[in-house]
Amino acid sequence: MAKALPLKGVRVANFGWVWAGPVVGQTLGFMGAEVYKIESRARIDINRTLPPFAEGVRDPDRSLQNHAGWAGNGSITLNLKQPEARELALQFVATCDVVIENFGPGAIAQMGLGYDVMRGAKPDIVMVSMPAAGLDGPLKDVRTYGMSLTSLTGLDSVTGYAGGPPVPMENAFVDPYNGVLAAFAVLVALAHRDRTGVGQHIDYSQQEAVMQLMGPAFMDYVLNGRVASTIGNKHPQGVGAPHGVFPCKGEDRWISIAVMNDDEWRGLVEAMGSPEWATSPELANAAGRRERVDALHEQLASWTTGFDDYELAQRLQEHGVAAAPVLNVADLLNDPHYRARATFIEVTHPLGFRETIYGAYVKTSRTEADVRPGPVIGQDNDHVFRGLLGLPEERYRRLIDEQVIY
Amino acid sequence: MPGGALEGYRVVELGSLVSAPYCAKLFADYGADVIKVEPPGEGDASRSWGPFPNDEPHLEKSGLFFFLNTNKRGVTLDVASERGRELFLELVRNADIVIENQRPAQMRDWGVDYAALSKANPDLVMISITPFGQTGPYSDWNGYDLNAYHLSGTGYRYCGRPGEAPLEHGAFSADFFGAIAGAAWGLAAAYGRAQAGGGQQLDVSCAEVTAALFVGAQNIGGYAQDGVALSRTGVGMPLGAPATILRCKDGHVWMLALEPGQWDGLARVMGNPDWMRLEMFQDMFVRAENAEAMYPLIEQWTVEHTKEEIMDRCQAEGCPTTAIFSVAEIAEQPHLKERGYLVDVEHPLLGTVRDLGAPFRLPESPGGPVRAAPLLGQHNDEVYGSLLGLSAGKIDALRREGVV
Repeated sequence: MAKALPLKGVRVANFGWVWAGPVVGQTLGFMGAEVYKIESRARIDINRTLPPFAEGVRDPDRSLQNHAGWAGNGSITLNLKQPEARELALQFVATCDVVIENFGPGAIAQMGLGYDVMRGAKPDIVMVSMPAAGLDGPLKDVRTYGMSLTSLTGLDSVTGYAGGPPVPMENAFVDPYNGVLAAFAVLVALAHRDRTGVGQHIDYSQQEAVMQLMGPAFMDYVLNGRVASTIGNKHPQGVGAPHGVFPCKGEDRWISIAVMNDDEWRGLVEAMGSPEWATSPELANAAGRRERVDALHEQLASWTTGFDDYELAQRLQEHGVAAAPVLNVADLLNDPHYRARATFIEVTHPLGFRETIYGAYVKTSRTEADVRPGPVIGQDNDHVFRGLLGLPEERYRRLIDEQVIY
Repeated sequence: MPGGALEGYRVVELGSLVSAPYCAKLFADYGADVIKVEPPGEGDASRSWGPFPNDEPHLEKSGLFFFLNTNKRGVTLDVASERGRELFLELVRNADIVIENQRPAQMRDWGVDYAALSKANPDLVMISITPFGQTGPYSDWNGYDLNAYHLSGTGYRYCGRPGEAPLEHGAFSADFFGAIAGAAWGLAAAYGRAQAGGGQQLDVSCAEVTAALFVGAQNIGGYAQDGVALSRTGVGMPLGAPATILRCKDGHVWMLALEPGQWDGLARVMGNPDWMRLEMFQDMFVRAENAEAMYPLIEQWTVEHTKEEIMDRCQAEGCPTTAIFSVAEIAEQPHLKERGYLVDVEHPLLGTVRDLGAPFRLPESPGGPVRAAPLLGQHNDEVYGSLLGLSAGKIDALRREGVV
């Protein structure tokens, strides 16, 4: 494999924090960009304080869940409350192609580092800001958590058991999602910059980006005035039947089965040994199955419940049926498919401990993705401040002593 | 689309349903020339999925197809035929990127897998998005969004009540996640292909993308070290409270008041009831231990008020509670209207149709849907004639043979 990664030579100043912002940097980093997270010991990023910790030692450089999401970012420390730190940040930005931030709207401008200031330092800079509901509009200051952002998109209104109340997605699905899509946004703007010489400030509204998942339901509202509600595991357009998650042998074991056409239905009937209920002519076509979907699901559940989930998935696949086991966290690490694809890998952290993170979750045939462990706070200070910015040794030491580089 | 950020990139899409079409839409909505290749006759399967106006099926009136294919040019081509395959390779020679989501065995059967396409165009970036990926024991499995999503552990870990079935989001979440990962990695590969020494294939598994970036990110390090595997609670955040969905007068709210300032804000909004000052509710961790007692107390108040009222008053007092908006409420939201997120697109059969706009905003090079999704084979003459240089007679012959 060639080692000249596609984004080699693209440098990124990542002011992002918690999860979404760091993932933007990580995504670009996998493809060769040189990314530095700018953070400070004066205000430790909350994601560094989340357990569990490597070898059980509570320390901001040992948060295991943080490392997977941050891996690929480098780290430099600047206490941005200090004027001299802001100056250094701008000197650094002047050497960069991209700035990332995911504070609340206007917060970075209040720190004296708004887009205008960044552009002063680097006229063709590409900057992405990613507040909850965008940089303008009546809701621009709305506060949400990653977990609840989906409430603004309509998505929460369809998540739940069919016909029941909304059931929360218990973590911020949208954070890594927005991290990856904002990386695409940055690349789009870089392509534009290369062609025209003009940089820009990307207004990435997390609400608008995630609302695209509601596009199909939105169309049903536009075309028919129908308002989507909770659908459980049923097909969003009601096309597939059966389409759900069914119990298997063992505690909390399940299988997903989706039948989208008559061929797949015939395969399923065959795999079940053609029981009488399933061979009824009413179920031979899609419309009939859709009409009887609830009864169909009950029948199917009483059949799946005696089988091992993995074995049943294999058996159904042999009959051309779209079926797969429903995995839990332990399964993710042990599943033969993820093991074969090296989805999760063990790496050695700079502090010496071993940790398991995700590797290149997209496989590349020419260039080998750059996979690194989660960063130690300030690990790249020497390289950036002395090397890249050329600070004399004496000033560098003074800035460390005065907790400017901190 | 001229003037778009990706002007100059040409993309050929051999996609159906959601993942590859959404990935290609991202390129089309920001100015790339995207040529969508559909099988003659029925076209992309999403044309048959709906929603349709009045629920009357019609290949040109599917809302799903409309949403996922704006700004693209559309051609029909029977890739399975020898002549069709040759024409496909000719399109690929004229493209920078191919985006597809066929089963790997299908692409091999057609003779249009990466080995074949890269021979035709060594600089090609091929984005292959499937539920399970190009390699590994499940790579030849049949699968849809539901199967990929639940293979990621998302439902098991994070969505649903204990003892009941793990839940999908209620959307095509794994398909969308695969689509955006393919877009980001694929555009990076195309952007830097000169220094990388040529094109390449990006193998995207929707299951793997979701398993790694979402569930894996937050769980795998801890599980590998300590062997602790957590699962869904059905409540929200089990470690801090309030962090859950509660009923209100006209629906539901996402109730969040974790930090002291947020809790105090909520207290002010609720008129400082005495119970909120009890020892058992004094910080988010203690409140979580007593959540079963607390949630009904808050709900007694929320059911007396509307979601907008609760959201507005909470937000004003520094408490990040939000309304759970329905698709109808979102479609009419003043905020989105003022930002111009909702756009109107003209379609020859559907008329003027309201659509969601660009997923992110580029002030210097605006994006978003301008042209409606193509009718089946709408751009056959344009693409086969102007781009590939076939004469009108030749195109007619291909039509008669059923290749186009």
